[in-house]
Amino acid sequence: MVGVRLTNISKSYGTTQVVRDISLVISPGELFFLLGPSGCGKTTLLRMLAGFLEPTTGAIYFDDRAMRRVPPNARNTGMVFQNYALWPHLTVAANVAFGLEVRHVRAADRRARVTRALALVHMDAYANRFPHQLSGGQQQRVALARALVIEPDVVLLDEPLSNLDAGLRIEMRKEIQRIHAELGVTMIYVTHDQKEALSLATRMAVLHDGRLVQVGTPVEMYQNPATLFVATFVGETNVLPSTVTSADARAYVLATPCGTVHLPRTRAAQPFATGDRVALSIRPEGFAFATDAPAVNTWSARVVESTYLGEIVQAVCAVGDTLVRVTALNTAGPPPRPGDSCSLVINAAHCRIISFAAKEIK
Amino acid sequence: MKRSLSTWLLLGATTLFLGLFLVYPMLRVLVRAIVVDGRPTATFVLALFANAGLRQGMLNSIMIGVYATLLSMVIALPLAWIFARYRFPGRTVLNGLMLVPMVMPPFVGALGLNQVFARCGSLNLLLEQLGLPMVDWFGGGGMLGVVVLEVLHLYPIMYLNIVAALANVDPAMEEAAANLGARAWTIFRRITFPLMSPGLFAGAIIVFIWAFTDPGAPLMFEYRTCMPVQMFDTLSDLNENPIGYAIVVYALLISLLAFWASKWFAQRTHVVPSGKGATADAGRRPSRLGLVMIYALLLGITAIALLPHLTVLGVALSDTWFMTIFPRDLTDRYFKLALTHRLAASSIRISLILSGLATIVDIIFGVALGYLFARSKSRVTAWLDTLVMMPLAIPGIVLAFGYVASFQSFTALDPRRDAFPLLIICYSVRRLPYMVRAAYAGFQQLSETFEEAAYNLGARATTVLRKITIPLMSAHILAGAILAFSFAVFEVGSTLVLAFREDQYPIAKAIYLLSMRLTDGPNIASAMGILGMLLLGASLLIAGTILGQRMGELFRSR
Repeated sequence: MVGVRLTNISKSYGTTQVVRDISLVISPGELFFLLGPSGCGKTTLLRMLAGFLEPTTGAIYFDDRAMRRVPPNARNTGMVFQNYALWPHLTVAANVAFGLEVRHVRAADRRARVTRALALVHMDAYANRFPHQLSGGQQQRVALARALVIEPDVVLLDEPLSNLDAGLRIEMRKEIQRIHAELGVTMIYVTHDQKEALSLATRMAVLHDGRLVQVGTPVEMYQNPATLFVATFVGETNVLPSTVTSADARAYVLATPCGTVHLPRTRAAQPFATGDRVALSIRPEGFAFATDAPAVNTWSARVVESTYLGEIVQAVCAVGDTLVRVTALNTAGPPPRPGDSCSLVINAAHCRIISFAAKEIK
Repeated sequence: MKRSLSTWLLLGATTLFLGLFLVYPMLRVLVRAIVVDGRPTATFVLALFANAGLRQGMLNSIMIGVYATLLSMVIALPLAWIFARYRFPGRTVLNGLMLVPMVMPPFVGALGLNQVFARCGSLNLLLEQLGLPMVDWFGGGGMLGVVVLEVLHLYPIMYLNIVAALANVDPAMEEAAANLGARAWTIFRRITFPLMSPGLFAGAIIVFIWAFTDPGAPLMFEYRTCMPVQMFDTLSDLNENPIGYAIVVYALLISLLAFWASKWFAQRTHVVPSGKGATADAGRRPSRLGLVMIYALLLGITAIALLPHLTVLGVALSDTWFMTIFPRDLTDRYFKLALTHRLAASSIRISLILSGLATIVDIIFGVALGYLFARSKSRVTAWLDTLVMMPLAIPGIVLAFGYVASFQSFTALDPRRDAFPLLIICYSVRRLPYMVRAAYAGFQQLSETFEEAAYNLGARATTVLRKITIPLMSAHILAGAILAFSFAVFEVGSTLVLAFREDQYPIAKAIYLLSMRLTDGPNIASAMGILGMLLLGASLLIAGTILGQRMGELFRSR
């Protein structure tokens, strides 16, 4: 179990910079996520950790060992590839045994460890099959076993679930979480699926255009996004362009297209002054339908669309000319219908005041 | 991938090998043709125009090349269309049958065809018995016979190229045109043909150069007024008469010109990378009448194409076939002789050894180069790729001629003293493109992550190569090696030029020599041809099974 440290990593191909000055510390035993849209540089970063690419500038440390010029085969990382890369000419057992063979593990020992690794991913019954005889989910499990059996310092997962259908994906999420809890090994997981990251990560980093935008726990990322990009990429949100009309020691007052909002200073990503143009992010669950509404932070609205989902209702409401998405818990009464007039109460905890300019934080 | 020491070593070794045995001989011939006594002169280059015989020979050969190319296109296009677009019972077997004509080099076929089409051959005897007038089938000096033989041998190459090209045309492209109201012919003319034409040109150039420079069939038909035969004839007084060099230079220039022209045409057309959805599996089922027509066409063409093979078999199996329609007095005597006769037996042994050694050289270079081309793309590798593919544009007879001119004064390589070193080198240079193509195709279908996964788990480069890359690649390497080997066995042009001593004759030259002997020579030669056909046929079958539709990629110029 090692910690991983990146200091000022950049990677360029000719004049195109795909990774820009990323510094990051990943603690031993974390299940750390690199999250971002395609082309953000997350896979490049992972391949630099595996040693398939050398950073143009900057350094990578596993604990205190500098990884510069350490070839992939000497890094002791276990990688799970997006297409699994199971060797088609070897059986499941031989695939898993490969890493032990090149480490000259004795045959008896090797067999025992292969069996144990396959049991860990519930594939022990398939040891003598060939990869093409397995389903996608089964191949995924074998790929995981092959990476884990060498007892790697770090497990690297490159969009491991992207080739599976929705049901299997949720099942494999749980499997990865269970295995991480069981082994306690440091795992670095690349994905573009924010739900995967929110549900599994101990901490995560959001990347955008090769830059590191924000690092934090899933709760921090969701509740306190530092930039507009994080707010919109992690979870759903309503973004309202607004102006700060008053700022004092404890609170801001914002003028939004829908009306006035009072928020405590803690809801701001950074300090603002009166007159600043800002973006206000309100999560759909930050609204509640109310009948006896308090005067502050309440807007009159009209229901435009409503989808009843049992425990919750998803609605689109018009506040003046502006449409907002609302996700509310269903109370005992009848759900809102299109055309109904209603009052929307804003929960300050689900709001975030963000600068329009902030593209990144260093 | 970083450019490591081994990469540079490979680049150096390849450049040295091809520089010495491809570029240097060609330059040498060029210099000898235009420089005499240290001064540049146009005498010999112009002499070709002054000499009516040589001029006619060059024209005849160009015509043979052009006719053979056009005719094989006419035959191959409908065949390829049927196989690419229709699904019908027996398709797989018939597809294999399409390649069968390739198993016999044209000059062996000439041995048999003479029996059928000669003035007193089977066909004319049949006509006479039916009371019809006899026909001079090889009228016009025999060019027709040469063209027919070349076409019957080469149209499968065209076929392979067109099938591969058609398979890359996404059926959705045609469906889109049909959806907009285009008729079948319009779709073919405006959509399908432009999209497949790069593959068509790639095949056409191989056929042209092959037919243009093949000395085998003309020699067998005694058709001497053509470039390859005239070039062959100048070899004996090479040191006194530089006119041979001038012929070689013209042949080389025409081949290169055709090569570049085909490349230019191919690049002018829009090459559409086929999406993942592109598949030729969505074939139609023909109607019952259509099916009958398809069978009639396929079997008809194959029957005609196999006529030379059958006649060769007839000659090999019969004691007398003279002034009769069918061969008589069947015997296995000549097959026994082919395996025991001094010249025949030694030539078979020599061909197998030389081709085997040449194939080993090709495997070493081909696999390394295929890996380099597939895994690291740069200006250096692009340049190297062009160099490695050059042998496709340089006729075997021209290359061999260059070897004689360049190395006859080096004792170690002098073909008059010992032809084996140059024959091995010539075979390996000539077949290197096939091997590189096969290996390249193998590496391309091998996802790089297979290797990365092994590195990631701690394997060293040699382990990855031994346990992952080579096992996954072995089928392609085998297919390339089989093709390189079997085509080297039947390499005609360079063999005729380079093998000087009778005790060193490979199969091709032994067959040529035997066919000139009056008594049982042609029969033994035919029996040898049949044995070779069986070898080549089995090789093609195995290679075709391994490579499937990618087989076509080996026989193209790009």
